[in-house]
Amino acid sequence: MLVALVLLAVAPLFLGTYYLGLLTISLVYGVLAVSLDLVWGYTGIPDLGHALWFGIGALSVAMATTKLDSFGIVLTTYPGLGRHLAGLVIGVLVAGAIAAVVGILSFSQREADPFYIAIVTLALTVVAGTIYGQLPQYTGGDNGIFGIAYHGLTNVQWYYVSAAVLVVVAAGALVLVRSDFGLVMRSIRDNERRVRFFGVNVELMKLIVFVGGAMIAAGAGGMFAMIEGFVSSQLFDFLFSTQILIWVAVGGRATVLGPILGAVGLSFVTAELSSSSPTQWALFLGLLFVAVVVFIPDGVLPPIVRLFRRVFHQHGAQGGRQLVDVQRSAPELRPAGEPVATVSDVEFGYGSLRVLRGVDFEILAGELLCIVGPNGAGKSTLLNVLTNGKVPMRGRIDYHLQHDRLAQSGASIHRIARSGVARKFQIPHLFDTLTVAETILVASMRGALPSVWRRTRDVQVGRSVHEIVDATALAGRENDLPPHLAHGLKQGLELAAALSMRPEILLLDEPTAGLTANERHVIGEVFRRLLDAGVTIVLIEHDLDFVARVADRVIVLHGGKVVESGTPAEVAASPVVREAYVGTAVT
Amino acid sequence: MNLAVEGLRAGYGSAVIVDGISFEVPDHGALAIVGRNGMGKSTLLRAITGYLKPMAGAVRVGGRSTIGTPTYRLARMGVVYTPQEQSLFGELSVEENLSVGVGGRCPKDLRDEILSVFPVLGERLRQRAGTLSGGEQKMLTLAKALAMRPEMLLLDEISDGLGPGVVTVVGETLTRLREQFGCTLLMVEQNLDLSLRVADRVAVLKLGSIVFECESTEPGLREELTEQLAP
Amino acid sequence: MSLTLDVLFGVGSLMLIVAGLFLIFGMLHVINLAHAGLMAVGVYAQVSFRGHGIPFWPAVLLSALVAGAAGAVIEFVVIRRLYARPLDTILATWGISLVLIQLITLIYGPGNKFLDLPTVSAIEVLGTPYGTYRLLIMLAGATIVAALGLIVRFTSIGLTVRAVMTNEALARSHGINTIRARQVTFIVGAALAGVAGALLGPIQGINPNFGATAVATAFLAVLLAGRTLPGLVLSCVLFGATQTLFARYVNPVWAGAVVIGLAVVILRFRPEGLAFRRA
Repeated sequence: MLVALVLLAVAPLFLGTYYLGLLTISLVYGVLAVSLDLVWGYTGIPDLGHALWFGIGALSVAMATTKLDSFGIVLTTYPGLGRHLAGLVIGVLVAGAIAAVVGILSFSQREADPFYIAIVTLALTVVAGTIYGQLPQYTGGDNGIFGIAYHGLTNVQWYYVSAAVLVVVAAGALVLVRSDFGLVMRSIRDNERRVRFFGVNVELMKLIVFVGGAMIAAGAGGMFAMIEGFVSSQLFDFLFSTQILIWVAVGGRATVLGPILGAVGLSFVTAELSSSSPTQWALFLGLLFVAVVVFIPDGVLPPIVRLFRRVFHQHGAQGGRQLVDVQRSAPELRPAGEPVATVSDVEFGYGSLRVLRGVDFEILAGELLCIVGPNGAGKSTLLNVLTNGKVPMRGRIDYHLQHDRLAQSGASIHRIARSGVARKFQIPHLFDTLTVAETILVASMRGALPSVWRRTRDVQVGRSVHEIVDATALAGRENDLPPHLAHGLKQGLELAAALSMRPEILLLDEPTAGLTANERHVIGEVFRRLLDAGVTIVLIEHDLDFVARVADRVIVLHGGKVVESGTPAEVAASPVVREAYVGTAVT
Repeated sequence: MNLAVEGLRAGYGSAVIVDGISFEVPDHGALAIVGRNGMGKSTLLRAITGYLKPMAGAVRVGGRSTIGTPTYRLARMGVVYTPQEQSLFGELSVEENLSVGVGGRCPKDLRDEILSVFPVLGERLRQRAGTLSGGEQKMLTLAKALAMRPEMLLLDEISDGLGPGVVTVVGETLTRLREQFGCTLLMVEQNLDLSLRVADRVAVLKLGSIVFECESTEPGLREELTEQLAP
Repeated sequence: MSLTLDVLFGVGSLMLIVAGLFLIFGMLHVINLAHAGLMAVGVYAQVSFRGHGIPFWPAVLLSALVAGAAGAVIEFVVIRRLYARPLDTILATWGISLVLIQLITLIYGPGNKFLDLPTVSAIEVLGTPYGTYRLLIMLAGATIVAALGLIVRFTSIGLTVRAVMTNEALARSHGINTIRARQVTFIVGAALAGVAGALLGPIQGINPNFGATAVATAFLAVLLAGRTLPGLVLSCVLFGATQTLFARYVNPVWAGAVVIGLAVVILRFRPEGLAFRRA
């Protein structure tokens, strides 16, 4: 990278005016590419209309520095720096505002299609292109606006300015993506649904990134106007948006440097070829884009870097993290027996199918409550309803947590998670690019707004997390990625992550599935210790022996209703339960 | 049509769920594999029916190796599989569920025969399958498997979630099926009563391998099995 | 009356464009952004076939085949490999659209082309004369959507389609070759795009970017349809009517923007779109 900086610094000595100008603009495109990489590469938001923000930035500068007549002909130009800068700033703010509106409308917890934001941004670009021609008194119409360059700087000076801006933006982006904030961005991209259950306010995070990206892009657009001196509808349209996507995809999404290389390299070549054979080049770019998306989704840069590393025997051992003990005073325990949650006559289902048909029970502080019942009785649905805030068809659920009292109905998933309700899923849903330690870190943040520069290396977790890590042989593998973990280890990670949220209520769906007898014993012990530490545990189980061993109370769900509740012994002896289960292999 | 499995190893990604599985089900025979949850029963069936590619071992149906054969082709050969979950087309009506698949429409005589076994389905032909009760759904699952005229039937926990009365009906139906259609049966189960009533042989699956196998008519088998299935 | 007919025309032509997109979205859960490119393929094929003297309607059929063939290639090379990556499918199909447009530009040049209307007559509808061809387009759009609905609901092929849409893994256990089913669906969807392009050619400017603007509205209409056919009809009616009325009474250019804004807002508050499930 040092080499690149040096090259950047001395380029003007070697390049003629034409090429220098080209490079200057390419560097501006580099800034634009970085902004898209942050939005799409790192956070997974497919902004198919990213050119829109760039265009707004450029147009704003144009409008601030010219006066047009009703046909879009330039009447006067105001060449002063003040005007240019004012236009730039306004452009950035306007782009941010529009992005905020789009973001608020598009990012929601409800099950909207992931295509939604892609189509909306695409549609916006199309609309912008058409509108551009309709308002010539502001936009210069089909011809655009010319002559808005800022002439107070020479070519060489502009070069150094853009180089400096690019370096600053790139450095800032690198710091951001390596920070805790960047970690959360990636977790949203990898598994948006799961990370909500860690308390992360996905909508807010996406909004921040989306607006930030739009603002950076607008800044780049403003610079473009000041250097090149024109703006037209071409800067808004989908062809340009696609070019930006191609730069990022080909260069290497989620690398910051890849998109810069893609932008600089490809725009250079485009400039060369676009006069001689524009269509062939566009065709080639299109094919390249498709090929990259299908066959090399990581882009061109990462394999080259890997090759580089192997050739020069470098090891990518940067950024390892570890789990350390947290020094925390013991929490005050609630008096046992107080209800931490009440479920009252809840009816719930999907479409016309009623799964829960009137469920009533309480979850008491400090207890281990087991929910048992034949399959199809609604156990998983019950757990879902407890955590996803979907409004039941009838009845209500209320949480009476130590620091929070809330009604379940209509609360967002992350709100419920943040107040102290953690969930461990039956099938591990993890994050492909987050290591074990990083997953636990995100969970332990419990949705608090992460630092945009600090990179936490020592993940502070309580004793129970350490126990789980040791018990499931995750110890020593804190820097491994989930695809390299066996099934049992993934289950362990799921549990460790849920525990690192320091929950008041822990909900588990079949925690012993697939575990050996020995592992079951260990889990049972961990649960008992958690109870001592004041955590309330609710679990769904099939293993009735395990239930008999660990549960304080059992409720039996059958046909969507609670048909029996009591101590394990009482429930085992109950004739109602016998009938629900008769014929099953175990006791 | 017989089934022979040898040294089967299967799992997901790097996780090996079942290993070294070997057993045979003779033509017209019936084998019940019992085991607790999480022991690999579903994985085993998915590996046999082409949903999961085995990591090692052999599977032979009617003497022909079927590893790598796509699921739909196995179904057309007469190997019919009913999964434990998502076993119905919830959006489609009962009648439509019975008609999906090989050939399209279910021929009337076959349909009438099936409905005589499950009369309650006959009353609900136009109802959307997703709105049936748990027991009715299981019955439909079995009924629509029968509508495909199976030569070999692989059932994944067909008794799951059913009350004892319905389980009895299912047991009788399966026994009658074997007599009437002569189909080979492999059932994976947690319900000992059903297994012992229907199958010729019973095997125990524990932590991914077969640990025990014998004739279902052995005296004292029920106690032995309960013992085997204890944690 | 002529306003009503214009509105119906707007709805009908939207239905024509949307049909193939809807089919692919329902079956493959993929928004096929290559639809615009495929419509262009259809219209340019039509230009070529007409240029060789082939009569209008047979040429439409041939253009549909060409578009379908392009769809087959796309499905095989790209779509099939991206089965598990829906967002990348959007990007890839977008790239394919671009590739198709550039190919067309290379072969035919960037300038405008023209297709003659097969008939310039007008028919009297309730006292108002209206272009016969425009009426034919309305009919085509309505017929195709109706045909889709009938086939899906009442034929055994339709049952297979619905089975695969409901539960693909289970459909396999019923002897349905789901890979083939999805392939055929994509090809049919591509052919329908070709038909839409070929039929709309005579009344719209033909250039390599043919259909690019209409398609943004089409995508939103499909999202709004919520994967049900009645939902599709409803969203086409809503969009077509709004667009035509807005264009007539306020401003034609802003009409597109308004429709898009409407869709965005509705989808925000009703992500399932205009699908109304039987209670």
